[in-house]
Parts: sequence; structure tokens; C-alpha cells
Amino acid sequence: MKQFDYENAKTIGEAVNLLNNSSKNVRPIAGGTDLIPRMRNGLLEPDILVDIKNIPELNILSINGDLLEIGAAVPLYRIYEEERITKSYPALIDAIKNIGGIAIQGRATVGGNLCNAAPSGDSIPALIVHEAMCIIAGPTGQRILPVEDFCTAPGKTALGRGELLTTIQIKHPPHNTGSCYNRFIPRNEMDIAVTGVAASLMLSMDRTQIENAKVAIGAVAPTPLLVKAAGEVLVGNAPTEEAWGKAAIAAQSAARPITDVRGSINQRKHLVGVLTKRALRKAYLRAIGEMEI
Amino acid sequence: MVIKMKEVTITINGVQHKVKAEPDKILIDLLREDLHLIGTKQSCDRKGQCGACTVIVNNRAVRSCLQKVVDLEGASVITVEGLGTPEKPHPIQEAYVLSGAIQCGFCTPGLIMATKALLDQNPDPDLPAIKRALARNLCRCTGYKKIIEAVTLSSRFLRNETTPEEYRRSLKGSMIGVSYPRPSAMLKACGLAEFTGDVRIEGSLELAVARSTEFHALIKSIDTSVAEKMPGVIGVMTAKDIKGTNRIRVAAPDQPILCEDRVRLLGDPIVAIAAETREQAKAAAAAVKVEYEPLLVMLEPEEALASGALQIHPHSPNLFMSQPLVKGDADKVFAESSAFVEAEFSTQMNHQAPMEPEHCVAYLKGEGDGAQLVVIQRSINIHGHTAQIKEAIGWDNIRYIEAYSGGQFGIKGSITTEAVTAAAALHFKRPIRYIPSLEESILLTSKRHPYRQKVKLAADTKGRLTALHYDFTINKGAYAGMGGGVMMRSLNMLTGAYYLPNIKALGLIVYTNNGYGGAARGAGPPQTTFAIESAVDMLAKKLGIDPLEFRRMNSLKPGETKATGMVITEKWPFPEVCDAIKPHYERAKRDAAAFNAKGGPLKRGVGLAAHSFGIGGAGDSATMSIEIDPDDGVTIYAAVADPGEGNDSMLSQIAAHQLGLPLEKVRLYTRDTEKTVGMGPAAGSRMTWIAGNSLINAIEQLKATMSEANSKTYAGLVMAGKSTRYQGSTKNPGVGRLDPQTGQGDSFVSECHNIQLAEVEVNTDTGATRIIKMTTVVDAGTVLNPQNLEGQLEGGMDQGVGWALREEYVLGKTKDWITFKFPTINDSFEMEIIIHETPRLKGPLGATGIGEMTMTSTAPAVINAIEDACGIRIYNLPATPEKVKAALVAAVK
Repeated sequence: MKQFDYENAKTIGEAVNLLNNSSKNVRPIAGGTDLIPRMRNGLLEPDILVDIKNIPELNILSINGDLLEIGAAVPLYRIYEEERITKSYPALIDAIKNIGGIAIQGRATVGGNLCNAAPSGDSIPALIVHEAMCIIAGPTGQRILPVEDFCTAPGKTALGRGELLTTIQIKHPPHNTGSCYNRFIPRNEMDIAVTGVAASLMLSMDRTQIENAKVAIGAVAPTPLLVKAAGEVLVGNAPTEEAWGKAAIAAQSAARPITDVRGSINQRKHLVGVLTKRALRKAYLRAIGEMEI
Repeated sequence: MVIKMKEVTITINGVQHKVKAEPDKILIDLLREDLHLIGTKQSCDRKGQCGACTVIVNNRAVRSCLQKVVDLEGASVITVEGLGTPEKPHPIQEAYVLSGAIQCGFCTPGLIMATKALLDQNPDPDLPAIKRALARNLCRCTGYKKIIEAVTLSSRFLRNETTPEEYRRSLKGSMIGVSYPRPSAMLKACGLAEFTGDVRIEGSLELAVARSTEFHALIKSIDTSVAEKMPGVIGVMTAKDIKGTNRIRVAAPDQPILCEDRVRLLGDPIVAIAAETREQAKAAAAAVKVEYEPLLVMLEPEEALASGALQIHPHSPNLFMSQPLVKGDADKVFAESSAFVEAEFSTQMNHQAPMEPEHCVAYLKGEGDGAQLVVIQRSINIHGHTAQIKEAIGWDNIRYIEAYSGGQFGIKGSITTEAVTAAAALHFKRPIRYIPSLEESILLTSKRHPYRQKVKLAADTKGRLTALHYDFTINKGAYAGMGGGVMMRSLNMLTGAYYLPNIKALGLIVYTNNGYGGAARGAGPPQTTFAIESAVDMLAKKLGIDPLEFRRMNSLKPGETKATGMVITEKWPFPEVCDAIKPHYERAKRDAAAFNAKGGPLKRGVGLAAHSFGIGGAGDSATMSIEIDPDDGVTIYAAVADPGEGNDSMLSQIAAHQLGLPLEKVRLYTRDTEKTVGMGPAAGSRMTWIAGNSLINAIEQLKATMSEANSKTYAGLVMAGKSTRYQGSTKNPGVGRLDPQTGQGDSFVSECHNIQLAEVEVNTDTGATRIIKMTTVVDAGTVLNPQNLEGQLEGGMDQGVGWALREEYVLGKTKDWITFKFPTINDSFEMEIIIHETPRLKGPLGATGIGEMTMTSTAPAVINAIEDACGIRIYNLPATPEKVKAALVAAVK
């Protein structure tokens, strides 16, 4: 591994200053569970690592009113051990329990999963259907970006030089809402998603109609995608198998997978359909309170 | 750039350490390299995949390979050494030992720490909680069943529901048929067993190897000038520096230690570099420049057999070997028979996947030409491999010490890194250690041979098997390794449990540029039995006969002949094995039918497969010694490796039983070429039979002398002027070579009989197959240690399912434990073992071998169950979701 310098940032301002360096390759590090093996294998060769774990704001995990705030350095276990979060954000919980294993989840972060910008990043489709917003600090101040616009290409994000993802904000879902993330992997553990799909549904008060719906797909395009068309075919319809089938077709036509070691184009297209239906079925059961996380 | 060192204060196992750390220092290096806490293992080379390095940091399980030291200010770290010692073990360590959850023991410390983290938070975890806590701790030996039992037993110990003492009180009575913990288990549970990578030799250099980036090429030039000048580099070694033949010869002298003018396989070794640190050696190896002239790459046998194909090796055409087998007149039967099935099957190249990478240590003891070269690795054939190293490197005085072994499953049938490390120790005249990465270890080791097979199987109107055509082509890969061994084993065990009067078979072994084939659990019969047992099911269906009844009615009987023409003389308890599975089979059929009646995309099915696995090759022999010690205990001197199967238990329980000694008075000296003689490999499930019998022979001599001297004590024998040490040996009858024209001849002297029941659930939406349960009935003669026997069967079923459903080695693409998908605890399934004991007339105390049995019959049982579930048959392993789904779609069309 190439030698690098290590800086321990104490404030957002300090981290932004360190990251805003035109001559050096500077990377922020939170849990490091992806960064460290990638550096060992020479896939990343930063000159300076900026540790952001000791910045107080980035460790905030709070629910204020109807707003959930997840600091970018909050390890996954803190999120799924918080009952108020597991109840309200089931797709996110489905997703983050898939990241690493228990011994990784003590360190790995949602912020890191997002900033890796892997097409298969499990948390990203879930954050998309939860309509999460990214709070970004930078040399010229703070900006806010919807999570579906955060990843721009495999491994690439919308972050500019000196910018740091500080917080993920998610509004509390309305009543009669349910969500789910599910993925397909060859084993029941350890593997990277061949395909992943998240869905959320908001039902009418009498639960006979879909009032709002989101479907997001992972590992089938250069970035995780929000499939607007899938949501649109659902809104105004009754929550039925027929509706799920239509949404599945919409999701399949949005998918632009490649063939690689994990799966082929055909298999992935097929799986987008299967997983969209499964995600919607579970989201529906959760919306009507018949299924726990 | 100035590297900022940071001082951190860490409490490790209760002791405060002030550590100065660079920013990139990780916890595992602090533990293993600086503090020599070697219990923390690493398999995946710091990728966070294997879980063997799990430690507890501030009460949470953490991967020490991903944990930076600079982040640990004020932290409390507990490693496996901090839990307990063999004298005073922690209850979790006791539970792992007593449950039989430890085979090779390489994953054990990580599992124990993950278990502790779980039980600290949840004192009474249910099965999902256990699986979640251990989901990323890989084990290749056990199939996870006994690990789950160990966690449950740990929790009972910790809740004071029972105690280790109480549990141990059940271990009494006979020395035979009782599950005494394996002798090395507690050492492994406490992290004190030294595997090769744990061995430290003062002043040791580190070795790295520059490897071929081409699959097949001429080497035009090698430039080491840059590498030689890099920091820390002591020197470079190329083929011309090797004094011996530079060829590893097993079946053929074809594998260079370092390539001279040609590479035949991706990853072929070219230049070895010694440096002060591993990082320096690796950096220098990366700076070696090799100029190649690419040659045609032939990965498949048909390419290598094409007319005019480039010859891969000078000593042999690409068709390395062929062997026919002719019994009766199969052509005549097929000409007259109406009921037959015909199909083609293939099996994939596979990796045996031991957890431990191919670490090696070598050093010279003494000076000058008489110096002894000590090689430490994990051979299962220390004398045989020492002879190969001697010839290859040109040094006679070599001692091989086998460290504890982190699994092998056949991979150590071939030497791996020993020859290059030994040659480097000679060349650089310094102790040297080679720690290849997991990726390199996967690249340089032998693999399970892929088979292409054509089967045609006939039966008469009564359902008696009448004839078999079997043509098979084995992809040898780039090097001969064990040569024709797998083909001979396939032919010897071709018809397994059944009587088949007419057979025509032909096997071909073909050199290619693919991964080279070697021993792999079962070595041949698993591939063959997948095809034959699939065909048996197809034929039963065609005839309208229940597949269990069909198998039972075709059982061999004494007086009939096996495929090689060898006459069965001993009881053949296969029909009883079938009878024992019958109630389970019928229950499983009912369960599946009830489930499927509900409809939906999930379909359940039940499948059977059987085999009678040959153990104790014709003409095989072994020699060992036993010595009575001054305290009237004994020491067994025998080159019997125990990479996890239980050979240590087998030797010590037999000796204790025969001599009426307590187990602690039986000592084993089994892992060193000094004071032992050649014994052949711990392979082919042969050790219980061959080593067990030679041990009994040695003990008989000792006992005869005791009765002559009228004394059972060391002092008594010495007083009577008798020897204290006795050599025992055994030799199986027959000649271990089939007729080159007919494939007829002597075969194995014993069998392990088995029938396997698979219950599966196929998701017809995705094609994914889930194993619900495997039930196995086994007759391996007298059971010496039930827990070890179960461990072999459970591990074999787990590996068999992995091979059937998803494992595959793809040269250049399979690099780690993500790209090689062996089962995790979340892929584990219910297993039931039913033991049928028919003592073998010539087995040691009536026993025979067990290690490979369920690896052989599991895959066809799973494939037959998939067919039963959803009507599609998979002919080409593995049965991935994509293949199953494609077959389902094709069936609808």
C-alpha cells in the first residue's frame, strides 16, 4: 500500500479545508471497511486521509419532529438498534442489514455506502424510496441534493472538490406507508447484489388506493435508479397483483444491466421484475401493518 | 512525505499497551506481528471476508483486518488468547471442543470471538440470532451444524444450565464408539495451535513471486534489474539458480518451480524475490519485467485435442492418458435392449477452498553441504513430498515439519509453495517465509478436475441394470499432478453400490492451459457418481419403478463382481442402508406433496443418490511405530496427517483401547519426517483403514513382547532386555493397477456404503434452490468416534451442496471468498445422520473410512430432487439459479 498522511478532523470546516486541496489526492474516511481493502489492493492511492469520525455533527442520529437525521459517520448498528427508525424506515433497515456482517456493521456507515457510489450499493435504492436528502458541506457553504441525484457514475458522486457529505435527512413517512428493499444474491450471505429493488407505497385512508409510490432499482444501471414510471403506474390504482405486475414491467424497461461475473443481462432484467413485485408485496403488507421488519 | 506516527493507549486482553502507530497500521498486524498473538487468523488477506480475524473491541465483534490502530485510543481489545487457556478454558472454548465444532481449527478463534460478542449481548440466542451473529465467519470443514450446537452449548454453560464437567461425564466406558474431543481441539480453541503462518524464525526474510500474466506464452526475456535495486530487496532467484531438476514430479516431471522459457498457466511462477519485509518483496515482484510471446491458449480438452494443436508439454502429447474398461458385452445388450437412457453431463472446475493460504517457512539448520533444510507447511504426505522437493531443488538433507493445517480437502495432495520456498532458503542462505495472498494461493494450487461425460444405461424388463456405456474426458489443466489417479478412481468405483454385468467405458485425460487438476475430496467418484446417479434416476422414471426400490434391487451381492471384475466376498450391506432411509424418504415425499398442493412459485422435491465408496486400494501398504514410554504410556510415530478429519482421534482411541490406557497416555508424533517413515498421503479416506491396521499390527507386537516378558511396563520390558519400540505394517491384498486394455483387476478392499436423501425447494420465479434437509444413511463399519464421523458427513454434505448449486473455479476470475462462493452459515441446512454399523472383517476394529463419502452422493441427490420438484433436469453443474430458470423457461416452451 502506498504511504499516506492521516488527518483527524474535529470540525466540518476543518475537514472541508483539508479536502479542498488542489495538489493532493485527499479522501475522507469514516468506517473504512471498503476504503482500507481498496487501498491495500492499490485500487485507491490517496495522499491524505481525512478521518471524519470525530466530527460531532457527523455522529448525530436523531429524530426531531418528523425529520430523521443520520450523520455521515454513524455506524450501521446504531441505526438498526434504534426502534423508532426500524418501525418507520423498513426499506432502509432491510438494506443496511445486508451490508457487511455484524462485525462490519459496527464500523460501516450509510454515508460511506452512498459515497462509494457502487451500482449495487444496497442502501441507495432504499434511501431513494424514502426520499432522502443529502446535506453537503463545501468551501462555499452548504447545499442539499436529493439522493437519487447523488451518484453520477460507478464510483462517482456529485461531490465537488472540498465537498463532504455530512448528513442524510429523511422525512417521516405518512400514515399508511410501507416500504421494503430486497435483493438477489447467489448465496444467502456475503455476496454483492446481482439485482436489488426498493419500493415504498402510501395508501389511501381506507387502504384501497395507492396514493404515492416509489420504486428504485440497483445493480442494473451505472447508478441506482429511481424508476418514476413504476411509481406512476401505481398511483391511483388499487393495491393488487395486477398493479405490481405493471410496476414490474416499468422497472424492467428502465433497467440497463450489463453482463458480468455476478449475472447476465437477461437474468438481471428478469430479476428486476421478480424483485419489484416482491418489494411491493412486502411494502403493502407493511403499509397495512401486517408485516414487521 | 513525513508520516505522522500517533501514540495510542490500548488495553489488550486486560494489559495496557502504549503503541506508536502509522496511520495505515491495522489491528491484526499489531496483534500478530508485534505482540505475537497468533490466535487471530487471516484467510482472506485483509479483505474483511473470512471472519477468522474477528476480535472484540469495546464489547463488539470487529474485523481486526479492517480496524486501524490509530482509531483505538482508550479501546479495550479482547482476542481469543484473552478468553482462556487449555488449563483454564473459557466455557465457550470448552463448548466448541466438546461439540466437535473444531476440525481444522483455522476459523475457530474468529468464531469463538463472534460467539462471545453474541452471548455477551444475548445470553439465550435462537437459531436466527446465531446465524446472524456468525453470518460472515466462514468455515469449510463442518457444514456449520456443530458450530451452531457449540453456540447453544456455550449459552447453556454460561447460564449455568449445565457444566463442562457434567458434559464430560458422558464420555466414558469404551474407548471405541465414544466422542472424545480430538487431541488438538483445545489448543486450537485457545488460539495456541501454530499454523505455518504463525511460525517465527529469527532473521527470516520474506519471499514474493513474480507470476505469469499470460495463460500460455514463450518467455522472451526476464528483467529483474529494477526489482533488485528496490528498498529492502536481498536478491532475486530465477530458474537458473535452482540446483535440482527444477521440476515437481508427481505423475510426470512437468511442473517447474520457476519457469525457464515458457509459461503454461496463468500465475506460473517466474522469479522469486527475497526482501526484508513482505511489502518490499511484493513491490519488487511487481517490478519484474517479463517479455512474452503469446501462444494459443487451450482451456478446454477439445481445443487441446484438435488436430495440429500445439503440444503443451515436450514429454507428452496433449492426450496425457487414456484407459478403457470392458466388462461383459455392453454393445450386444444395447443392441437388444429397449429400456435405456442416454445423456451427457458435465461438472465444473472447482476449488477445494481450504481456509488457510499456502504459507511456507524454510531454513537451513547447520552449515555447509551437510546442513539440514527444514521445510514447514501443511503437507498430507510429508515423506512423499520431501522426496519431490529433494529432486526438484537438488538438496538431500531435508526435514519436513507439518504445522497445524487449516483445511486441505485434497489440495495438499500436491506440494504448493514448499519447493520455491525451500529453493529460496538454499539460494539466499537465510531463513525465509512465503506468505502468499489468498488470491495467489488460489491461483497456484491444484483444482477439482472438470469432467465431460456421456452415459448410456440399460435395464431389463424386471428393472435389473444390464449395461453401461460411459465415456469421459478429464480436463487435466496445465500440469499432471496426481496424473491418472482420478481416472482410475472413477473406473474403480464406477458402478458404486450396483451390479452391472456389462460395461464399456473409456476415460481420457487431456492437458490444457487451465487450472491443473489434483486431488479434491473424493477425487473422481464425485464427478462420475453425479452422472451415473442422475442416469439411475432417469432410468427408474422411464421404467416406472420407485427410485429407492430401483437402487435397492440393483445392489451388488457377495459373489457378484464390481466394475473392475473384482468379486465381492464380504457382506454388502447396501440393501439395509436403503431400508434405513425408507421411512425418511416416504415422510419427505409426503411433506413435499403437502407443500406443493398449496400452489405458488415455490416447489419442493425429494431426491436420492447412493454410492459405495472404495476404501483401501489394492496393494496399498503402510508402516509405523509405537514405543512404550518410561511412564508406561505410549508414543505413536507415524506420518499420519490430520488436517481436520480426525486421524489423531483414530490413532489415539485405537491405541488406548488396545492397550487399556487412558487417552492422555497416548502421545502422537505424526507431523515430522524425523522419526517417522513414509505412509503415503492422508487422502482417499484411507488413513483409518491403512494406518489403523498398521497401528494394530504394531500394538500386537508390543503386546506379544509384553506377554513374553510377563510385564506391561516400560521398566519390565527394559529389564527383560526387550525393545521398547515396535514397527507395525499392513498391506492390502491385490495389485493396484487395472489392466491397460480392459480396465479389469483388483479394486478397493473395502467400501463405505451410503444413500443420501435431499429435500429441496426451488423458487420457480428466480431459479434459486434452497436445501431444506439432507438425510444420510451410512455404513462405515464400526464407528470409532461418532462426533468425528458426523463431522465428516456434515462437512461433506455442505461441500457437496456448494458444488451442486454454486461453486465454480474460473481461472483468472476466482480470487477470493466473494468470487468463490462456498457456503456460509446462512446457506446451512438441517442434516440428519443415520448410522448403520456392519463391522468390516479386515478393518481396524471393524472400521473403514468415511471422509469423502457424502461429498460423492450429495450433488446427484440434490439434482434429482430439483427434477422431482419442478420437472427439469440439470446436466451441467453447478445448478445456478440462472441455469435452473433457463431450463424452466425452456420446459414451458
